[in-house]
Amino acid sequence: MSNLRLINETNVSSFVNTVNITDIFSADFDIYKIVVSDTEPSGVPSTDVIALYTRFINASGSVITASNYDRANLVMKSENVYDEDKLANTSFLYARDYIGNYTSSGSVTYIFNPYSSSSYTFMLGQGSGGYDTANNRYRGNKQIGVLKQTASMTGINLYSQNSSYSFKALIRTYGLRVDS
Amino acid sequence: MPYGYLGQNQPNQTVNNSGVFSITDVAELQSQGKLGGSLELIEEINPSSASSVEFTNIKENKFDVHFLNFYVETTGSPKVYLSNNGGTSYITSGYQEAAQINFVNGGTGEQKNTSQTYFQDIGYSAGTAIMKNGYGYYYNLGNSSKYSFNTYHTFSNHPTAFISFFGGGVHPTAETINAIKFSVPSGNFTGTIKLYGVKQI
Repeated sequence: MSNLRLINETNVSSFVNTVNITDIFSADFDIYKIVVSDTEPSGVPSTDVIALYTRFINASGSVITASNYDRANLVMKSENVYDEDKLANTSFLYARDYIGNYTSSGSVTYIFNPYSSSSYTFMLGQGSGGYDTANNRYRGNKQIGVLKQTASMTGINLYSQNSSYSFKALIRTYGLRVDS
Repeated sequence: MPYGYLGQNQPNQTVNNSGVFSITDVAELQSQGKLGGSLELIEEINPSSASSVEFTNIKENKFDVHFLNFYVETTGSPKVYLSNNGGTSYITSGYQEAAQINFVNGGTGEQKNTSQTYFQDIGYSAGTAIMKNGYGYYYNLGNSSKYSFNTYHTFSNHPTAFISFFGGGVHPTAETINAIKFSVPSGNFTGTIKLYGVKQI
């Protein structure tokens, strides 16, 4: 039997530039898996892309916008030299989804210890997407990140880096059950 | 509806039960054919010596995300290919790939291509048989209006250096994919390849 427990399925079926998924982290699990699929962009030129940024939501329902995130992201390009994006003390975690005219994208992300009020919240993820099909700008990426707050997080916020760009997505959250 | 919560059937419950199913959960999930977790094994293939194996019933209408897991021993360099005609033929051109290669004895490399011949790479070939292990997530295979994407991570115990790959790829054509082939261009392989569907509510 699989130890994945489906906690939440959020189908963003209308175009938005930000989405909050709340009440998904609890004392029941230490590790969570988030799968994003069926994405679709709107208002995005064919030569640009939505980078789906991530922030955490605390137990009070507030999105954490403080500059307490550290991140490192390797952007792998099918047509060009790869990019290393790394930054400390920033206000969000970088994208593992690139939503452009490659008609959808997909990603898997793991979140560690979000509900613990005595440890930082860590994440690692990998994604696959692209934009500007005429120039073959396919993007794969691998990311790690941390929120350096010893506070209990209960949800995530996913948002477009450009507020005039919007998206649809299917977002599933699982808990990893550990048998003692 | 969330499952795996005793105490109350809501995700923000206060009872710490580590995702235990209630009797009601079990009964309802069983009636839906979903009991057994959130990965559903579609097919497992255990070749003793084969140059390729095929998954021709991938349930692409049921799952929008698939998970391929493998551990094989081979002298060759296995690849994954997609089919849009149930396995009658496989697509061998037009893929795009972007991946990173990591060598335990130092160094990394970029493996990128805008006209790749396969959907997913598994690992380097070597003069002697070596183990290659890993997984791939495949997105949108059954959606005729979307491209098919993957993200993957593999490991190989190459004779001179442990090697890992991670990255992704795309079949940039909006069409239904209904079969998957795991094969080596030359030589044979033994091992286990499992295809799962990631369950939806």
